[in-house]
Amino acid sequence: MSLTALLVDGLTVRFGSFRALDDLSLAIDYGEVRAIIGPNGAGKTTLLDVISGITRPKQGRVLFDGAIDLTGLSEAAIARAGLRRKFQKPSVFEGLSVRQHIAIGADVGFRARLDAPALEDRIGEVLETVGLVDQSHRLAGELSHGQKQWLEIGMVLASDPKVLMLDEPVAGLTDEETERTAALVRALKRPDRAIVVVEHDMDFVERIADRVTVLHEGRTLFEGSMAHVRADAAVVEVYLGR
Amino acid sequence: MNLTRLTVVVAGLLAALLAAPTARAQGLDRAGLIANLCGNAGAMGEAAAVLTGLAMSGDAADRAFAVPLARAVIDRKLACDDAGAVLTESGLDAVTRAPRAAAGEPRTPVLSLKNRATYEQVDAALALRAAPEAAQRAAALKTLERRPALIPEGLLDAAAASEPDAGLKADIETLAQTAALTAADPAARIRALARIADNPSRRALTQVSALTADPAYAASPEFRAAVDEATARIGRGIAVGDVLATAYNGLSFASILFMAAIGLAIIFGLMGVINLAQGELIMIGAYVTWLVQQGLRVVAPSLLDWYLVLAIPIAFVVTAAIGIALEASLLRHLYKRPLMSLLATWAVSLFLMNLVRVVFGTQNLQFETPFYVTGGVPVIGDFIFTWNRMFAIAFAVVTLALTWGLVRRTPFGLNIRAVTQNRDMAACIGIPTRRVDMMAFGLGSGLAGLAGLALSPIYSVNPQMGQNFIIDAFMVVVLGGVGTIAGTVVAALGIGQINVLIEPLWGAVAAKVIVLLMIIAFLQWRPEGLFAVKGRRK
Repeated sequence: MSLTALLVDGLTVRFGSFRALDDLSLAIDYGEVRAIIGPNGAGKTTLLDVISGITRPKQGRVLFDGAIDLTGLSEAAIARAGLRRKFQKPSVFEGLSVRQHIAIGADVGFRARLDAPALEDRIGEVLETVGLVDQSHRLAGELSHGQKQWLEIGMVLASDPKVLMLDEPVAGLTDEETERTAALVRALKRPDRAIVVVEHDMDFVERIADRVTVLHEGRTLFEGSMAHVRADAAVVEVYLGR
Repeated sequence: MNLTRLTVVVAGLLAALLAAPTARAQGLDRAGLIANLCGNAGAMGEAAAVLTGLAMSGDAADRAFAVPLARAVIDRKLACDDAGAVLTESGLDAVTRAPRAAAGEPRTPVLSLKNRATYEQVDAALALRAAPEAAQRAAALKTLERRPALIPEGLLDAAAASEPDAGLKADIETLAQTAALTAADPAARIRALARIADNPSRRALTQVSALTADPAYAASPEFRAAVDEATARIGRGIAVGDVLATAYNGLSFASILFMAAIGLAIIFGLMGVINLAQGELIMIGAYVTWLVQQGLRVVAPSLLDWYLVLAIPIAFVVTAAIGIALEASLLRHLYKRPLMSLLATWAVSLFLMNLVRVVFGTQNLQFETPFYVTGGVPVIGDFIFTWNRMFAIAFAVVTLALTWGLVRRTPFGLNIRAVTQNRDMAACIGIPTRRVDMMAFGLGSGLAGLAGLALSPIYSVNPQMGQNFIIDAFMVVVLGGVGTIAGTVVAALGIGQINVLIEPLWGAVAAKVIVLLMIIAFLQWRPEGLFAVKGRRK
């Protein structure tokens, strides 16, 4: 296992004449929680789309674990390689129960990877982690917004991913829920796992992130700790200050 | 209470024991009967009465003994001599049925004009009860039918009770009713009216309402009341029967609609592809069924009756394979372009239709009708519980159960539901969405093939048949809410019933138009259909 979980190398994505990502490069290590911030249209979600295989880049590549180029793989293949992503909008399956979400997250495809008792253990463990044990038989459509966010985190967590991508996990949550989510994200940190969080909420980012990457117009504007981010003049100019 | 009942039973048994020897003692005096047959007109009349009695009751051996006698007298094949009589055709003694020749100067009895008619009736009555062949009994019934007033009361009831052939039995019962209605005894006529009213049908109504012109209707108040009562009861029975028949036809039509729509619902719900070739997959399912029938005719004629069952896996696999090939070769590349996939599947539909036209021709296919989809059980009024429709209903119910189980209870079904509800998320947690698409397309196509099989005993099978179902199937899918099994079931039932309700009033075309307008109105109010999954893909 290399130290670098994800190496983004010269990535360019265009939508028509608009450059969502412009020759972007960055490296994310195992064991860190990396926050990616930036104004609207900076390319944060596009970056996650490329990593998870939804969007194909014009140029550049994304190396996972130092060896696997993700840019040619299908979404499912990328997911099976150990990269999981939570979407910006809560993307739960409204008609499935909470348990089924965790089960489908842990054990998908046509061949079961886990036997029944192991799957049960895993489901229990994940529900415990995201705090949805009491809701396990409810349909996802009935959950509150915050619970849906946690459910989705639980679903992507269930497969024990090496790279966990969270797109705006606290958007629309109350302060108390944000607090819980922050604690949850910190608890998920492990030496063999990289966590990438895209978020607008600066206080939340400050609480969870080891390092912060600021994107602006598809490029890296700044990279460093949150304290440094707040101090950087260019960042203040394009983002924080306005 | 129990004691009373016991006493009655014991008394009955004792009575039976005491009566038994008497009955045997009263058994047929065969020699006396033959003597009467050889006697004068009066004696022959008595003999005819005895023979009539035998036809109605009496034991089977005596009846078998009597069967050739009336015919022999009519055809003048009875030779009377001093020792009795000989049946000249077979050369047997009329009493003992041992072979012997007539002794001395045999005399052949001649029937008087009055007796001739009686003997014709008696012969027919005996044949109806005791002839071994159904055709002979049917011929006898035809003879009796000519003079219903002469038929002894009770004969037809006894004959109907012992008749093994269902069709002939129904004919006998009808004749029994007619005979009783025209009987001379007013009480018998009133009883007959009550019995006819027990089995209401349009024919019975015609029969009974004709009686209002009968002189007795004006003359006898009891008879008039009985006729009116019977007319009212038959009317009610017919109304109930019509309601049941409509519901039953609606149910069978709904079953076919469901079968046609369920595959479409899965494909449309999962991939957003409007598969216009679904109708042709139904058609191909029916053609595969026909090919299985033709194959069995050559390979294993003894199994021919079971072709509908044997064709089930074959129809499913063939249409599923066509669906998978279609998905892999064509639709896979058009997922992001719904209009293109619509046009492409339309082209495939035309191609398949014309391919079948070229290979098999445009005529309707001829299907054997196996015994298990033949006929039906008359229930009430003109409602017949027909087995071919029941086959379609049962088939749809089994398909529903299996599909529901597959989608709700298996990992494959969980994958299908996850992809249907949120394709991106499903892909991002590692569900192989392309493979799920392909297998689901195969499943949907295979279900269309099964629909073709299920409707082959009811509808005509030709290359155009798919066109008739595709629109209805789409209405079911859209009304039910895309991609839900429950919605498909409810919408199929609703559309099926409404169609069948409207059709007799304003015709099939108007029914389609009205149903379509109702769906449009409904979708204005609930655009997502009856049972939409909340928050499905944009």
